[in-house]
Amino acid sequence: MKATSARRWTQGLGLLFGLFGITGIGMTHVLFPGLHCYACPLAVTVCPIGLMQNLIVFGTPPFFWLGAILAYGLLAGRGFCGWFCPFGTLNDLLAFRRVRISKPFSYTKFAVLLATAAAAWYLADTVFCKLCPVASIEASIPYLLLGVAKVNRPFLVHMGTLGGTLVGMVLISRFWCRYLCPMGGLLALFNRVSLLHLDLDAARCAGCSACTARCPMGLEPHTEHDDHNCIKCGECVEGCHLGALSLRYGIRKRT
Amino acid sequence: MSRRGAVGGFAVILVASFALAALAQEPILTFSISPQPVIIAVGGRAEVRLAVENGSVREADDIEAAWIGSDDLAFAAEPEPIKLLNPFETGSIRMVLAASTEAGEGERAGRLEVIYTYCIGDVCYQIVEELDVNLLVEPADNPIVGDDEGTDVIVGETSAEPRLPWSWIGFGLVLAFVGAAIVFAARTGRKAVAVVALALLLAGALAYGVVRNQHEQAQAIGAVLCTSCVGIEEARASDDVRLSAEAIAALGILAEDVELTVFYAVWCHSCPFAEAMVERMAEASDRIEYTFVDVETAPELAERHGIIRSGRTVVPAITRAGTEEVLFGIEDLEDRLLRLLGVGE
Repeated sequence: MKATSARRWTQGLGLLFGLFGITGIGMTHVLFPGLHCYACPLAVTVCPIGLMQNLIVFGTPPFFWLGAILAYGLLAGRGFCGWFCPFGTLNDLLAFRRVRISKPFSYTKFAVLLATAAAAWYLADTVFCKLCPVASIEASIPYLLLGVAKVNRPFLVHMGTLGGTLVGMVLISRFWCRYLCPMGGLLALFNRVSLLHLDLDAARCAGCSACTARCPMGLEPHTEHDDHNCIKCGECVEGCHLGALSLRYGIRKRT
Repeated sequence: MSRRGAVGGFAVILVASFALAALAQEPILTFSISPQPVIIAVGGRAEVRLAVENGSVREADDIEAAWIGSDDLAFAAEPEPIKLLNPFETGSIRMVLAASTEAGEGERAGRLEVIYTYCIGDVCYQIVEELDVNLLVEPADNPIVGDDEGTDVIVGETSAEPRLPWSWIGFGLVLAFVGAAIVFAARTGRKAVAVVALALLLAGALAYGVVRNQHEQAQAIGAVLCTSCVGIEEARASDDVRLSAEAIAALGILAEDVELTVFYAVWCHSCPFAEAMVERMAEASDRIEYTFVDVETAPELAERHGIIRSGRTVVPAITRAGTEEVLFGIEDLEDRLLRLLGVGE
């Protein structure tokens, strides 16, 4: 099966997993390996970024959280962004313009991650959640429909951040994943050691940049296959007619 | 040592450290006794102050002191325990020690036993510590030191520098190891070593987190929707609650007895506002009775009222006995409460 087809299935699975609350099983102990609001009425998993903020507010050294992040980082790193995260899937659906990534600006997601943690520490509040476009879709709108939320200032702030993000996603493919996602920032730290990785056979690469044209993250996979921005979606693998790129699972060969 | 031996040794040390840290009942309080030495006359009394500092993020409960030194010395009265010492708070127990008329003179060593408890999730620990007290027992003609009131407790009297808890130091070390493994892999390209190290760290962190009940905490955080926490509405301080003149007038014509229940969670930012609003209304009308219920302690009740549905809790929530209606959140709460009471427009 081609990576693109397989990815559609796993992304569907991610969405299903995110909305598994429809079965009535309630919240579990599992952290979602992506950005997915636990306030969603159908959520059964805990948002890692929301939990991180809460634990900072409570002053709990987050060992369990760290263990889960390490597990996801090792298993696939940012592969979860490309293959599982429902918000990543929405980014894909709106990926009309595959422009080149701005490398300096791509570090913003780490700044967002640090700012999220710092705000939780200094303001003792889950500030990021109040701006998060995922919460806008998965909590604000459903709770408005359920009659719990009202059209008030926090709701409008949520709609503002969601609107801005959607515009960004239309103009730049995977805009949120490239530049702003704190969960993507966390997983990016493990991209070089994760078991899911993109390999380049330099002997086969003609440098034609066919892979670049396919990359939703705006990378040049034939030169940046090890980049922290790579979501390992495999689009470039299919784009390369010479078979120079491949997605592999296991401990990467020494480079 | 071979590479395999080094990795194995590292793994054993790491796992053992986590296991020890997880199983240890770590003391969370630090104590100091003043004065040292305690000067006391034969047949007299002396005041002893036990300063207690909570340098952890846990609450310490029922901090009790008992004299376990020689029989010729005892407390003039049983010291009252400190019922609760919040994280990073300091407190003190003032005790009056009495020496019998047969107490031996000179430098002596006494001992004080301090017992307290703290909980992490559903797991509670009792910590017993023994403290040395240096005594100088002087002849009987020395004046009596201390008062006749016996003992009292002063909590939060000083603001000593809080100590960074060991658990945070441990977490910092684990983070440093994680960072080192990632940098090592990036610099040397030896990813297998980094993967093994990270796998060990993740196993240790997960195991330690589970022992500390952090998985339960994660579930509890995920299951409770505090309406202000995710930006469904703005949190407001309970001090902001002011009933309007119209509301007070409307409450004055309340014709029947009403029982309200406010469901809250301890970390809910909006709940104190909801509680204060109900309190103010009850002050304005004798016909309103109210109860505050922590959803975590009464999940079945909350479930019956639809405040917990499919394992998800939404707070604050207010119910009126005898009706099915539930008010969630604090948006326009005064108007909505008046309507719930049947006196609003």
